[in-house]
Amino acid sequence: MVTKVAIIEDNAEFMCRFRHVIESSADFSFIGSAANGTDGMALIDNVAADAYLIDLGLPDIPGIELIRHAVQLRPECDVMVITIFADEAHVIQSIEAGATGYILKDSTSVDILECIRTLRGGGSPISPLIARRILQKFQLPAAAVPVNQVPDIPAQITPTPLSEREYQVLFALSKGLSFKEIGARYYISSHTVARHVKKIYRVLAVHSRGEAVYEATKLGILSQ
Amino acid sequence: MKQPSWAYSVSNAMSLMFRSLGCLLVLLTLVLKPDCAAGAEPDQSVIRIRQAEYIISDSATLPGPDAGWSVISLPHHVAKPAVRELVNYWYKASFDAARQDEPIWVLFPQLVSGGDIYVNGALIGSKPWANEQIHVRWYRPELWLIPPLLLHEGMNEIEVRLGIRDRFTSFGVIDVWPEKIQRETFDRLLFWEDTTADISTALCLLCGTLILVFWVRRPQEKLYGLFGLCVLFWGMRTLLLRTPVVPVDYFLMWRLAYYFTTAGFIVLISIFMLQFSGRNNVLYNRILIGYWLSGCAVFMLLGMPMRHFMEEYLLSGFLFFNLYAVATILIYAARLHDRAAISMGLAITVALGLSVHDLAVQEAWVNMPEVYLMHLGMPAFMLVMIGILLDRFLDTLEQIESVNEKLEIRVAAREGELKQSYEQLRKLERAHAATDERHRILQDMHDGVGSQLLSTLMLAQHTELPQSTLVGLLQECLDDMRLVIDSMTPDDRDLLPVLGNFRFRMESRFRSLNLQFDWCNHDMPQALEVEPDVGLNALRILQEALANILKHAQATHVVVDIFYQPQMLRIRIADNGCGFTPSSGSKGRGVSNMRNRAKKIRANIHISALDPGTEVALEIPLAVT
Repeated sequence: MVTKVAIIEDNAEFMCRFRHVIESSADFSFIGSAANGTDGMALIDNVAADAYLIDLGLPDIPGIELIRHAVQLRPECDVMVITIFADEAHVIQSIEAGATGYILKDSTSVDILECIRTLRGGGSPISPLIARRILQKFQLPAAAVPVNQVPDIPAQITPTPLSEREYQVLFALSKGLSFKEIGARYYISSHTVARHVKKIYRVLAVHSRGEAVYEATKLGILSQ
Repeated sequence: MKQPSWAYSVSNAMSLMFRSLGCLLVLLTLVLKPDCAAGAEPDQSVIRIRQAEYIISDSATLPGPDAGWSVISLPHHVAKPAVRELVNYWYKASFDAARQDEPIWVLFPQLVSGGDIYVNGALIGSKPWANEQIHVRWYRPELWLIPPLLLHEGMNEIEVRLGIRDRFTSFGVIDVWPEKIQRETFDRLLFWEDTTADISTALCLLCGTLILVFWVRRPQEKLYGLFGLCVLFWGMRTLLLRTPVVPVDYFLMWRLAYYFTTAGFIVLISIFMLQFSGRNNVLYNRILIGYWLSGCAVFMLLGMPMRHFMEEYLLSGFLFFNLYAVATILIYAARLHDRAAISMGLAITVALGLSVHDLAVQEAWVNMPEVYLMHLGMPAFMLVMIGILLDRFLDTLEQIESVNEKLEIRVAAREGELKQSYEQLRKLERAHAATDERHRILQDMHDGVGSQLLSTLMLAQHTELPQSTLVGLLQECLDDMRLVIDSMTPDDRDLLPVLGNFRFRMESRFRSLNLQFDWCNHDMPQALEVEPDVGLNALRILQEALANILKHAQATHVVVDIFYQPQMLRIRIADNGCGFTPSSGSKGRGVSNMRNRAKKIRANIHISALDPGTEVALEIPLAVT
């Protein structure tokens, strides 16, 4: 089964590189590209890809909008954000819009392909700093957990939309443990850990949509 | 002077006042009723005897028709012939009972002096009357059955024998009729002339005592004390007055007690009224008290001869003092439009009216039935007083509540202020932290990426660099920037996520180069809080060491061990590469860079050779929090 990939990226060099990486692998096929937001929207409308790689810094439309559009129009697809630094602000914003993965612009080809494969396998990548940001998003006072408590069984202090396991995984991730280490700790495979991460991303997207609705209702933008 | 608090208090529970006034009015209407019953024309069918004959006689049997009877109209209420103290009388009156087919009863609405009652010469009832041993005064009606056998066709006669010590000869009307109607009238009269007095007395004694007890607990409330004494005096006065039979031996003492309590009551109530209206006058009080006590003393010394003087002049003399006090309180009420004062004034006016009525009746200034009503004035007065006290109590309660409320609001406001200032403080702290962070980043740019880019540029300008070297140099710049960005978190000093991010990145890089990279955390804590520059420099040393391995060591396996100890962070980086000689070129610069950075954060760094490979050991002291 070949994974169809579409790329929306305004920088010609990066586009070229990504396209090259995709085409170099037998289990991926490159099926379209766009160099700006408008074309990107059209591409999403017209071409059904399994994975869209979307650059956040497009010249005309914010990449976030394209992510939202893609996720809404094609719920079964995966959207990956292309970012320079994988800094928390941009990545979290993208995840809240519905993205389930991100790749660095200077990632190696191995990394890029590995990332897409993880996504298609139902998992998601995550860095400790992003895990920490998501924890904070769910207002889990990680710092308030008693010091004497072993880090692998953190107390779940406030009710969150996450399951206990998801919370444990997220907490461990934020402390810099690898998928493998976490898997070993909870007797699950690292794939399962990756799947938990994807689930967490989805929860965050739903959560943020709820928050947006709440905020909008509060501001009187939406009527009840 | 202590007063306005009494008046202020009223603003709220006004309905209470009105209710008291309403009760007062109801009472008044009721009070007028017995008067009507006794004074107005009775039911047509009742035979009311209004004409009688009387004679002064000590005879034990009815004197003959020609013994010198005088015809009088009833009620008969005149000054007695002053020849002697005890005067005996016979009264007789005729009535026609022929048409009655029911037993006939005789009702005396007022039989003040008691007496033996005869019908056609036969005794049908007796009420103790004054004789050598006792003094008598009844304040209640009497009802007797006339045995049917005693009555005959045509005119029948009722004869009453009695003795009187009082200054007035008093003999009321007589009603003759079957029981049904008479009983009703009798019950009503009994209630108003007798029962109400008992109730009022009991009430006065009870309330007076209660108020005094209250006053003892709160001595500063003089008005309460005064009022309590008033009520108590009144209760005692009524109790004394209503004692129907007093032995002659105790009569003087009894009378003295009566004058003392009655006059005492008037004195106290006058002082009370003045105090209530805020016009307490010490001179007035002294004169009043002096007048009262000296009057009693004079009576005690001179005895019964003074009785007429006492009742006619001394007690009437109080009227002026009393009127002055009443006028004061009425003016006060009118000026203040204060309902408490108005009700008080009204109650006092009513009481005064009743007392004037009683005086008029007693002194026979008017030809009215001898019914005394003043005991009804006091309960009305007390009702008003209780209303005022209740008002004050409710007011105090409301005040307490409002004070509490205000306090709560103030506490809440203060809390808000505190919160705000705390918030401001935090903002300031955050701003401060952000400024610090900005400085730090600027410094980092200068020392790190900036200088690195610059040296790369210089190299590229002056020498022909192989592409791989250029790529390596630029990669280092990018890596350093990533470190700076990762550590840019002013609100959280936990190094673990930053360290984790670094690991995450390095693992992916080593993996893409097909090198084995093992990262082991030992005793990882919940969080690792360090100063930002300590964290960043430690990461830079770590990065430099790994970059060196990638560039020079040709290793296939790299191990990073991190030992978390409470006061020390130990990092060990080992590879299985070709090892190094400290002085060689760029590698040497890398090592001196690491040493400089270690020095900055007071860390120890040891570089030693392994077989094969190299080990870099870093010991970073942690500030114990």
